[in-house]
Amino acid sequence: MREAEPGKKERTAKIQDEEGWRLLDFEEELKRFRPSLEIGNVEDAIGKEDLTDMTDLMVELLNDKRN
Amino acid sequence: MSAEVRSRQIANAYYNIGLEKAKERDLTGAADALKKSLRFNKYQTDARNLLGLIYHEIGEVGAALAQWIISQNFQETGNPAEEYLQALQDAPGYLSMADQAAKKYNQSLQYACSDNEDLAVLLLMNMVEEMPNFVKAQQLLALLYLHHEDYTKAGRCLFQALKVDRYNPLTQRYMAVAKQNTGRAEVEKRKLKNAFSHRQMQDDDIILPPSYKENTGLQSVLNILAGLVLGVVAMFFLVTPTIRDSITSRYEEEIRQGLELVNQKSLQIDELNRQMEEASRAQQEAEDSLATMVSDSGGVISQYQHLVQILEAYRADDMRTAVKLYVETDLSVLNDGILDSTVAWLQQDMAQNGYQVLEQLGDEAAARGSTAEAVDYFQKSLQIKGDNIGAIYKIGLAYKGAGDTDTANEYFGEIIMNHANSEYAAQAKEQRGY
Repeated sequence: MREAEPGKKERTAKIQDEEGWRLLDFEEELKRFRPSLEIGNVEDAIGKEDLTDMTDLMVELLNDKRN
Repeated sequence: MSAEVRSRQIANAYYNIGLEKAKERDLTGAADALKKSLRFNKYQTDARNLLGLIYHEIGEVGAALAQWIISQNFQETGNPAEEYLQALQDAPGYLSMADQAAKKYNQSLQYACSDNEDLAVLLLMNMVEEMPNFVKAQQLLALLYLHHEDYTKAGRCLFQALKVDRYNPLTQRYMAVAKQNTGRAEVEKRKLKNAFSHRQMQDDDIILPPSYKENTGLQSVLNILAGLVLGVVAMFFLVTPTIRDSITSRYEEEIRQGLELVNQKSLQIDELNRQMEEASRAQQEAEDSLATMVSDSGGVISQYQHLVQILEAYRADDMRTAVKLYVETDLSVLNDGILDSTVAWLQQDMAQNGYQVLEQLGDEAAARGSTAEAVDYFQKSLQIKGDNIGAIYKIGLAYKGAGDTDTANEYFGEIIMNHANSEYAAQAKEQRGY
């Protein structure tokens, strides 16, 4: 197990040992979680959405070539 | 067939895969397939609407709204997205509840990351009561329970999550951890409790002598069992025959009707099975078509990729890379209407300039003493411009320099016989010796 930082509670779960306890690293697992989109931020999210598809890529390449 | 039509076909194939996975409740897999579909054709309305439905199903209402709004922008008429959006707006308080759920989840995540796990758990418990299908929230709550070794509660959260998204990999992983440890932790706790049980005797405590026995649990169970057996026997001999006759006459007609219904349903099932087989065949054809498109060697997609790389090399003024890629590309498969002019321009430029670059590469390789590499470059140059006598002559020189006189003389002979009027004919004779 990792050493806890001074003044901070130990935050890792058990490691798989010979008795067969399954391991989860709590900190690493927390990193997998991303925030959920709130209704008020939908408009921003739509503006930032990447809507490029294959046809757009081909057209962009052709235009670059012609120019 | 144009590139656009091909992209639409691939998008449709991915949509069909996403649809099948969604029907099996593999929402994670379905979302992946639908996103790929939209990468090939952003106007695939069904894929976008279904992606929105999936997001809604897993509790991500904001993301669902985003997809349906985009869908409506791309296709304003005859689009089911309009109904979905209207349904959400018409449901009283639903959008507000969903927004609150997202906010609580985000707040819980912050609490969990900043060591306030108890607050996170409280907030999430409250939230999943209202929205049990919010998969990410159930997963986070389960993770917090696992961290506190409360495996049973973690299992309950994960069970809810699996009901919504049956094959979610994260949920399955956490469930495996919870199952592995459920029961073991409870046994350990009980052992611990029994090992350290020291209770002091009080004044009114009574010590029972060993000979005194009250009714033990086993005796009570035996008494109950005996009573049950007697009851069953009485029922069997006295009551059951009368009841049986009455039931039989009353429900014969219903049984007959039930059998007729079963018959009808069997016919319907046969028809549905036939339709399912047809759909599976269509899906297989689409997947085969997709596999052909994306196959590594000679596939249409890989030739498009080569073309893109060639154009990139031109843009970077790297003629050598462009030429090397060009000779490995099969431009004949790119026979759509959109790219004809680009391909024609490329072929013309290579015919004018590209063969010389290859010849130069061949000269450099020959100077280094790499005969095989030099010959390869000269041959590629001939691929572009077949009547480049200089390249033929240099191939002959390369073989002669490497000691392979027979092969060298073949090339010299080719020049002498077929290009006697060229400037290289005399040199070829000299090199050959006759």
